[in-house]
Amino acid sequence: MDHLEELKQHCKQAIELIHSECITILNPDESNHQPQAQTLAGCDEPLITLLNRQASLLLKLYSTPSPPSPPPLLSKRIQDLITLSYAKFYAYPYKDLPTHWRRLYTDSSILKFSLLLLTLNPNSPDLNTLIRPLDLSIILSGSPLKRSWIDKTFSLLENLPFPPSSPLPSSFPSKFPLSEPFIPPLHNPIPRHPSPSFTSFQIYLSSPSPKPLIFTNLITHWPALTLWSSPSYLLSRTFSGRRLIPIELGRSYVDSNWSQSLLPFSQFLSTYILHPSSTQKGYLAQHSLFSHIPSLRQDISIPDLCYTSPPPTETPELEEPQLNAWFGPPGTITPLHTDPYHNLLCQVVGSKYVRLYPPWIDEKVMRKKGKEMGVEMGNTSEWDLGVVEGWDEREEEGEEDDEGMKEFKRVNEWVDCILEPGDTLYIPVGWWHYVKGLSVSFSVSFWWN
Amino acid sequence: MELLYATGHNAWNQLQLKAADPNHTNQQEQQQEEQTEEPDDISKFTCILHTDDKVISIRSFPSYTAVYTTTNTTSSPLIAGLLPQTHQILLETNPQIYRHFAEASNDTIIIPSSSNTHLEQHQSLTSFLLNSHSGGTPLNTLENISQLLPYETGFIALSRSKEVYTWGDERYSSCLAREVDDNSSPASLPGLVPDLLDLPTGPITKIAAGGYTLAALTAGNDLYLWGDAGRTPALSELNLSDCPEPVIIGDDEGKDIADVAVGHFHIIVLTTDGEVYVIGDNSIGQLGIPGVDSVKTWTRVSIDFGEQQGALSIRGVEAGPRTSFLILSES
Repeated sequence: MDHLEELKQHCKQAIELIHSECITILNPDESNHQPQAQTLAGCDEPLITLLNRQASLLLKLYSTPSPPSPPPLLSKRIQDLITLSYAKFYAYPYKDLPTHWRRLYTDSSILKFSLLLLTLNPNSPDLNTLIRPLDLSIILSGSPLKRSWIDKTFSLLENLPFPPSSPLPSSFPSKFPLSEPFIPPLHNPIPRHPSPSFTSFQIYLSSPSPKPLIFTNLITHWPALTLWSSPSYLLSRTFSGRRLIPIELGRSYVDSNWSQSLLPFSQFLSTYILHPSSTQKGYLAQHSLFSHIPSLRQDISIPDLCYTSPPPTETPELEEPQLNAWFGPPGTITPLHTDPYHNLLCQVVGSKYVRLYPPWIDEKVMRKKGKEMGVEMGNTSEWDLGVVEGWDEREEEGEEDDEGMKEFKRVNEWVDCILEPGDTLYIPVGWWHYVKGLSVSFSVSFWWN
Repeated sequence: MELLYATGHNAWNQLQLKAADPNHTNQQEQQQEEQTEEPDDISKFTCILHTDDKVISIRSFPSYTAVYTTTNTTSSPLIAGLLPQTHQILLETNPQIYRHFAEASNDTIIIPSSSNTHLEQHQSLTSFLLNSHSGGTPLNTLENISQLLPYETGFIALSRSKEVYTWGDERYSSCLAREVDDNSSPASLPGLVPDLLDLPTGPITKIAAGGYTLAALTAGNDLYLWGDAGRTPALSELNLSDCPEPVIIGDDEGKDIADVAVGHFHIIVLTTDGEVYVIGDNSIGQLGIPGVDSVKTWTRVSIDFGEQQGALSIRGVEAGPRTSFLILSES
């Protein structure tokens, strides 16, 4: 069986599964009342009926050896399902969004992909359009129940002999440029140590108020340290740079012109990493990249230290350490904020400046924000450290607060560091931290509690 | 005699009122056809009902339409499309509540209390039915409500004393058009919209809402719009904000507006001189202008009433999330 045929069989199985789940929901049977976990059933019957009709139509096309061109309404109705389920993502705060709406979005996206695959022009395949519904489904909905199907789809797609994407990987340099346009002076450098043993770190965490530390050899064995400095390697792991990733646009998430956008990885590299502009920064920030694109996951490993048990806090316990990727050009800023978890920030490519303030500094001095537009911003400080220190220009006009600024500047318990490739910064829970990329920089953070 | 014209989303045959076709001799055959054929959307205003009665009200939900007329009253509205099971149960068991309940897109519902003295908020229609109508939150501050409507994440109500109240998800504070204070006036409870009091052309006589857009009409035929247009490129040129602003439609001075209806991403208005203007998303024909994806400025729709052109006048407009309706009567 050739690879394309294998991919089509894979799609057909997914469509059959959607179809049979719809049938089960629409024809409740006493003998089969075991509710499935993460079921579609919460979506009302009209939507299930509509989904089922499209799945049946698509299945018919998939079961015909040389299918006729699909009825024009099929694509329109699949789009209806995507539109209607996506509207729910806005109607609820994301944490309250019922899983069945994420399921409907995912399953409709799988139908959309399957329809696009069926009508793909083998001579000039539009692969960006083809994979878009799947990446959107992962990024926007998390693709409940269907993640492994989607991962398998991408590995099948990578087996297909497709022409290379544009821009060609050969137009990229062999290594990311690592120039540092600006280096802040260090005042209270964080101590640097070799990695501690599990036990001694556990004891350190249980001490009354553990302070930030840098471990110099915790991740030096990671393949990522050599591999990720090469653009062509990263492209090879992202379906020739076609995979979509969420990018933060703007200097810092507290600025008014900040926004988020979904871009193909290669476009992110060429526009924001290799040819960065001083005004419009693009930052792949706090994204669970390794669950999104599992092939990059094998280049790193979760440090054992993340399986220690720090003293419990009010935050519910995480089952697994939470991984996030941070990849951006020089000058990206994560404003002064706190997180509800302990953090190991591992520097893989380039360098980052980090400054940390202890949690016991008065909230009023730190200017802890309240709710903004119904969104809790209480973990972020109003202080723009770059402006306070005179490194950055003031972004927005506002009231000058000389007294408050003086008081904030009198705080002398802060510490700072510049992280280089191979360094790991331990950030204790609740410590305020400000992070600034100095060169092109790729870091991985591990949250745990 | 009255006619109903409609356009837009028709994935569940929600624009196929059975009575519309005078030649439907074999209904069974027609139904079978419906099951196998995927119904297409309607891209221009088309007659869907021709009745000797008077149309009283239209309730247009995502998957179906319910029409109340002088014959088809509370217990048996005309239905086109497919009802969610919860709606079907409510319609069968409590048609009075069904006729007046409001359901937001986050499932929250508002219904009259069993004693009909006040309104109650429930988490969802499902929980309302499962808990045998108990467990709701009474909205005691609301009295004498003449009109109640949902928008995507909240509600708007008009009282008989012509005051407008809003409540809902605080994240979309522009829709509320009022100050929000967690203690004295939380987003989640009805609060008075101060900007809609003491207007130059008199008190508010009608409200409309859909998506994240809200509308109010004054006694002197001015239309005020407000809301959150962040996600709505098709409505971006309206520059909606948290402050209700009068809109100018039709000519430089602005025509007098007789009626308004708001869909998810579109608005339809009727002027006092009988013209219909629309704005917003037309991706599935909800504006009744074939061939365009959206209309970013107020655009007049010309409607072909065929032979009866001279004998008919439009007396009202209505909108579902992705549909529009015109109510016509013989002049």
